[in-house]
Amino acid sequence: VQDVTERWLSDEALSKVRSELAHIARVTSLGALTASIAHEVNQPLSGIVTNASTCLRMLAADPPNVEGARETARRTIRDGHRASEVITRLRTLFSKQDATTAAVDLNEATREVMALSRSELQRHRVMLRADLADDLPPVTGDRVQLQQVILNLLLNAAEAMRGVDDRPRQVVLRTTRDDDDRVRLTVHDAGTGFAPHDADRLFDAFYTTKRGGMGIGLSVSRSIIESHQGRLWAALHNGPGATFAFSLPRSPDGVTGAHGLGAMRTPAVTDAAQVMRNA
Amino acid sequence: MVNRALVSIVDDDESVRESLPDLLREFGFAVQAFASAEEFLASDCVDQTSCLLLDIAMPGMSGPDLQRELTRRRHAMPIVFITAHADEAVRPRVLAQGAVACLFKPFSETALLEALHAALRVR
Repeated sequence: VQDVTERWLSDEALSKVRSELAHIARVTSLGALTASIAHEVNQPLSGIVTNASTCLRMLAADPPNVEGARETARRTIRDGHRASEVITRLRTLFSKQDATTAAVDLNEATREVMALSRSELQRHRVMLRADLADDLPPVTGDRVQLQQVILNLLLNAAEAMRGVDDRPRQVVLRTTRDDDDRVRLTVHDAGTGFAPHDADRLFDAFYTTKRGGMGIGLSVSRSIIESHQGRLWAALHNGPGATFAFSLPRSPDGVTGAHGLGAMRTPAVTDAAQVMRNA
Repeated sequence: MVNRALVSIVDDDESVRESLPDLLREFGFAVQAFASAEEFLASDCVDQTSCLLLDIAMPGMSGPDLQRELTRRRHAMPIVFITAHADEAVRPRVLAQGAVACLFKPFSETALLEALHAALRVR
């Protein structure tokens, strides 16, 4: 009994370390996304200011254009909600919180990440194509952590194409259902790829080929995926660029709501320990 | 209304295309809105536009791309850039290319009117 208790405590502690590291990685990508976030908020703010100006002018007219004013007031409210939705998405993605376990719709999680990073990708002239499977079963895990992985793979893909000017900077994000009851997400870029002998080091903590990179993104991503009983890997393909992919087991039937961390506890030990050793 | 100069808007954001035309009509301008640079170039408004309100970052052809293309086609028209990327480095760059002003969203109606008046004076 003693052993089990001790083990449980250290699992808890290690799970906390992993959460902290994931949070650092999230905050790091928050920096990269600042411009994108400002853009996403400025767009509806612009609508609010313009509509309110129009509304005042319509009311000041002689006779006042009440119907027009109503319509612009309605749009003002809608744009206000749009701005607050951006903030809500951000708070969910970047708040510091302990891991939770629930059924996660990977397509929906992916769409939210795409919405947040859209203008950042656009700014880098990256075209994002999403090909999301219709019949994707849910996976079990921490939605925010999984979104962190997707965001990280997406920003890495954009980064890898920074200097690419002789071909379209295209990222293809795909979700598929694997044969063996697993769900797979792949991010395919047309960037500079990586040297074949670096394939393993890519996932080491503090290994980076990026200027200004901290080298924790991929190692935390792998730790997160493995704590979900999944696998994260990188591959080169014919032609330029690289593919990063992860696969996760689908949720057992009937898993819908949040429940304890039990399912994640055991693998979290080895992965968090690995991260700590690398760190 | 005396002043019915045509102001064309090119912006991929739908709420801008929905809100800005109403305000410009309140100012007394005629307005056409386009979702992309390509759509604007294909329209018959290019010759009639007195001032172009142009977004910078758009999928496909960007605002500065359109600016260059209009210069190449000798369709010089006063351009006021409007952007939600508050990047101070971008302003001198587009002004150097001949834009009249560069407004960061959200902008006040006063700033917009000033830019429009400056644009129409240039013309």
